[in-house]
Amino acid sequence: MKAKDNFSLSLQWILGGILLVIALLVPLFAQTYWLHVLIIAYFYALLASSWSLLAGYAGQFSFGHMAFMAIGAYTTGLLGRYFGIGPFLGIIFGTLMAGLMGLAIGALVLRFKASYLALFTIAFSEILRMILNGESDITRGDQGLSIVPLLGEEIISRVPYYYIMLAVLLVCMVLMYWLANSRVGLFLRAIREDEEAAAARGVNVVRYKVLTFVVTSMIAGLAGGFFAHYITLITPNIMIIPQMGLVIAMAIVGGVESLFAAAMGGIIIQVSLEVLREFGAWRLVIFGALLIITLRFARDGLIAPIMQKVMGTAPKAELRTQTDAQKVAKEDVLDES
Amino acid sequence: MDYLLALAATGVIMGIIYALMAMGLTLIFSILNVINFAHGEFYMLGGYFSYFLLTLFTGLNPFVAVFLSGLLVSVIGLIFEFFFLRPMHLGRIERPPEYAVLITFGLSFFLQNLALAVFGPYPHRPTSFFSGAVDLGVVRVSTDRLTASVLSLILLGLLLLLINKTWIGKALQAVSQNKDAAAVVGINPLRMNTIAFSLGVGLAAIAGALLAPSFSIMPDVGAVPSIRSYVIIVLGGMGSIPGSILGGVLIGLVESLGAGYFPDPSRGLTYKTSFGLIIFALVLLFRPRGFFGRKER
Amino acid sequence: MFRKKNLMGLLALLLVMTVLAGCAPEVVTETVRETVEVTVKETVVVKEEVVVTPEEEAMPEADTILIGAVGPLSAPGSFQAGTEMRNATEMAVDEINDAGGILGKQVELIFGDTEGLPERGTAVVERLITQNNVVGLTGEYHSGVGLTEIEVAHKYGVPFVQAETWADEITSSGYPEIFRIAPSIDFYSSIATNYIAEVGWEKIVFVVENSDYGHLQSESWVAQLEALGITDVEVFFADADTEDFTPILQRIMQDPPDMLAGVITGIGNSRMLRQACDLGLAPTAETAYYASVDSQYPEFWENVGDCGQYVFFTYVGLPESLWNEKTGGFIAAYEERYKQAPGGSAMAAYDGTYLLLNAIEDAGSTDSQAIIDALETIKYTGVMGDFWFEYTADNPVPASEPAWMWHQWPTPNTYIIQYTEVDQSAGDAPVVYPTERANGDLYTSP
Repeated sequence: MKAKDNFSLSLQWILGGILLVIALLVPLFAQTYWLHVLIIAYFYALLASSWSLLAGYAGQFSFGHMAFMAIGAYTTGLLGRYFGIGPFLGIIFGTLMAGLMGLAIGALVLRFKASYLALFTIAFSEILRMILNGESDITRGDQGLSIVPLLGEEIISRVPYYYIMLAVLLVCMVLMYWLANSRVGLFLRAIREDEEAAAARGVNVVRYKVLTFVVTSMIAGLAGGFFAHYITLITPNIMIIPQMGLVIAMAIVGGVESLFAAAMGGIIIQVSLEVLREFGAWRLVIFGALLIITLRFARDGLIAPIMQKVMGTAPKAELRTQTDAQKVAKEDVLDES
Repeated sequence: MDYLLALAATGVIMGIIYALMAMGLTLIFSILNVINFAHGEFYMLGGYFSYFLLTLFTGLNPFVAVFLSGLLVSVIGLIFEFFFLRPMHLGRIERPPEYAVLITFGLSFFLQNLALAVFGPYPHRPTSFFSGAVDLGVVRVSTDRLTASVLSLILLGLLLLLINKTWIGKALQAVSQNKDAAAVVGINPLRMNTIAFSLGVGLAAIAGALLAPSFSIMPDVGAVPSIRSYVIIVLGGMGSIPGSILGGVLIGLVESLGAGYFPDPSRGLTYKTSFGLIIFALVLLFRPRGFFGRKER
Repeated sequence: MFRKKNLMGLLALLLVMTVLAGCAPEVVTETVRETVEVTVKETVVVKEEVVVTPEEEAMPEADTILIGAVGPLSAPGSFQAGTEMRNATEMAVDEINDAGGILGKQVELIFGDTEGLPERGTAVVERLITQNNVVGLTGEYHSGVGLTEIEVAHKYGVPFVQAETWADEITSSGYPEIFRIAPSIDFYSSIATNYIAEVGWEKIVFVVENSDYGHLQSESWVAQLEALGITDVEVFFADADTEDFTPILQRIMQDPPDMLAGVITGIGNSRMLRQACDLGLAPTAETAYYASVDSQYPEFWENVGDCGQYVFFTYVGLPESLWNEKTGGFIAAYEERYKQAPGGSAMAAYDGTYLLLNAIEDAGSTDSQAIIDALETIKYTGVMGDFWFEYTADNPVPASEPAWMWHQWPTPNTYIIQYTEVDQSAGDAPVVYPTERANGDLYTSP
C-alpha cells in the first residue's frame, strides 16, 4: 500500500514537473501570438480554478466571480488614472478591494440556498456592470479605460508577461492546494456535505464559508489586476454573464472538484477557442453542449477522471469511503475560536 | 402630471406581459423546485419561431403563429425536462440543487450560442398584429404592444382558471405543496413536473412571440427578460402565482418610473433594469419570501 | 500531504522562472506561408521611378504580396459593416490578381476579425505584422479599435490606410504610417449640424448610444451647434441594447423638439424609431427624425415598417447621383457576387484596398517607407471619387487647419440623405445636403 502510494505520488510530481518544464520552455519556440493566447489562457485557468475552490470545495456556486475580477481590474485602473498609483501597488489594492467585497458578499449569502445564491450573485454582478457602464464619465465605460502596462512602456516583448502570468497562476494554485489540503479544506468539505453535522461538531461554518469567499475573490481580483495591466484597456464587457458562463464551463468540464483539472480545463478550452476560430459561433455551441453533457453524465468533469487514471489519485470526492463529515467527527476539531 | 400618468400606464401595460413570462418561471419553481436560468432563451426562441412561421407561411394569422411557437417551444422544454431534469427527481443526480442551477444555466449558454450560430446576428421582426397606435387618453401606445398586453391578460386569466378550477391545476397545486402526499393520492409527480416545465417555458415563448413585433428579435434578446423574471418571482414570492402577477406589474412600474424620474435624466435609461435588480437584492436580503411566498421548505 | 520539501522545490522553480523572464530573448520566427497562386499572367510594366531604398534587414523573397485587412466580423462589433468591408476587400484583391497582380506577383489577403474590441484589434494587427509579415494594412470600422491599432502599426512602421474610422485622433496623431479616407468626426458632424442650421431647426434632442462613438459624436455636435447659435440642445444616453426607449421618449414628448435624433447603432436604431413613431412623437410635421448610419442596411425596413418614411441620416459613401464610371461597375459586380447592395463601408474598404495596392505598385517595392512615400503622392480615382492626401511630410498641416487633416483625404463623401418613400433603398433616396450636390428637396416633411 505504502509503496503504491509513494509511486503514484512520485508519478504525480514527475508529470507535473514535465508540464511545468514545457510551460517554461514555450517562449523559446512559440510566436508572440501564441504567447498572448497562453497568457490569456493562464488568466482563465486562474479564474476557473479559484471558482472551483469556491464551488467544488466549499459548495458555493456563486455567479459573482467575474465581478470580483472586474473589481480588481477597475480598482487598479482607476487608481492609476486618477491618482497615478503604479501597477504593482494598484494590483495590491485591487486584490484587497476584491477581498473586501468578497467579505461583504460572503457574509450576506451565508444562509442562501443554491438558487438564491446564484440569483443574488447574478444581481450583484449585473448591478456592478451597470454602474461601470453608467458612470462612464469616471470609468470611460465602453470607450475603455486605459491602463499602464505592468512593465512600463519600453518593454514590448510578451515573454516577461508570459512568465509573470504563469508565476501568478502557480503561486495561487499552490496557495489553493495548501488551503484545500489543510484542515480548512477538510472543514469546507464537511460543511459542504452536511452543514448541520459539521456545525454540531464545532466547525465554525460562518468563518470558513466567508473565508473561502474572501480568498477566492481575492484571487479573482488579483487575476483581474494582472489582466488589466497586460491588456492595457478594459471595458465592462469583461464581466458580462456569458463570460461567467465560460469560466463555469471551464471549471465543470475540467472537473469542479479538482483545482488542477479546473485550471487545465481553463487552459485547454481557451486554447481550443483560439484554434477553432474559423468555426465562429459554433465553438461556443460545442462548449455549451459539452457543459450540459458533462453535468449530466460526468459530474467529475472530463479532465479530472483522466488525471485520476493516469496518476492514481484518490477516488472521486462524492464516494469517499469515509466522508469528510465523518472524518471531522473523528478528529477533535473544536475550533480555535 | 401627464408625464407621470403616461409613465405609469406604460409600466402597467408592460408589467402584464412581464407577469406572463414570470408566471411560467414561478410555475416551474413551484412544481419542480428549480429556477430555470434558461427562461430568457425560451422567450427568445418563441420570438424566432413566430418569425420563421410567419415568413414561411405568409398567409398565417399572427395569433396562430404565436400559439404555434408556444407549442413548439413547449415540446422542446418537454424533451429537456425528460432527459436532464427528471433524473434529478429520480434520485440519480448528486447534489440536485446545484445541479439544477448549473444545468439550466448551461442550457441558457448553449441555446444563446446555438441561436447565434443558426440564425445569425442580424435583427429581424415578424409582421405586426395590427399597425399603428392607439390613444388611451393618458398615453399613446402602439397597437402591437397593447395587443400583447391584452392577450397576456387573457392568458393570465385562463391560467388562473386552470390552476384553480381544473383537475390538472389542482394536481399541480398538490404537487407544489407536498410531493409525497400528492403521490399517495395517485398523482404522478414526475408527470406533473413535465407538464409544469413545458407549460412554463411555453408561457415564456408566448411572451417572446407577443413582444417580437415591438422589440425585434436577436439571439441575446432573452438576457434582460430572464433577469427581470427572476426579480419578479422573488419579489412576488417564489412559487406564488398571484405573486408573479403583482410582481410583474410592480416591476413594470418601477422600470418605467425609475427611468423617467432618475435624477440625471440623460442617464436614466442606462440604469433602467438596475432598479429592479436593486429591489431584488434587497428583497433577497431582507424578505426572501417576497410578498406571497411560502417560508423556505 | 503537503511537505516543506515540495514548497522549497516550487519556490526554487519560481526563482528560476523570474531569472528566465528577465533574460529570455523574444524570438520572432517567420512563418513561411504556402503560396496560393504562382502563375503570372502578364508582366507588369514597372514605372520609370524605381525607388531603391537600402533594406535594413534581408527579407526572404516571397512569391506573393501579403496585405492585411481588419474589421469587425462578430459582436460586439458592427459585423454588418465589417462583413461588407471584408467582401469588398476580397473583391478588390481578386480583381487585381485577375489583372496580373502587383509588381508581377499575386496578392494575398488576410482578414482579421477584431470583434469591435480594442484588445482584439491590437492582437490581430500584431499577429498580421509579426506572424504573417504583411506589407501593409487597410480597413477598420471602429474608432476605438483603430486608435489602438495605429499604435501597433506605428511601432512596426507598417503603412495603414484606415477606411472607416472617424475619430480625429486617428490622423491628428501625426503618425507617418497612418492614412485615412473616412471623414473625421469633426467633419462628419459638421454636415449634420450645418444641415440643421440650414433647415432652421432650433430645438434639438439627441438620444445617443452610451459608447465611445456616442460620446465623441454628441460632444462634437453640441459644440458645433453652439457655434452656429443653436443652444437648445439636449442629450440623453442609452445602451445600444436598450429594449424599451418609451420612458425617455415620453419625457421628450412633454416638450417635443424640432428634431429628434436616434443615434444608436444596431438593433437600437430600428427600435427607437419604431417606438418614437408609435408614440406619435417623430417623424411628424412638428418633429423631424434623424437616424443613425445603420438605416442604410436592408433590414431597416423590415424592422421599422412605415415608420422609416421621412427619416434622414448621414451617409458616408457615394449616392447614385454622384457616381463616376467606376462606381456603377463596382456596385453591379458586388451585387452579383454577394447578392446584396454594397453600403458606404464597402465602397470605403474597396477604395482603401486599391489605394494601398496601387501605392505598392507605384513604390515598386514592398518596403514600408517606399509605400508611405507613394501614398503621400498618390493620385487615384476610386469608386468614391478622386483620392489624394493633402498634408504630408513635404507639406505639413498648417496652423490654420485642424490637426486631423494630416494624411487625410480632404473630401470624404458625407451627405444627408432622406427616405421619401416606404421601402426605398439608400441608393434611391435623394441627397438633400450639401446643397451643391443635392438632387432632392432640402427637407420633405410628413
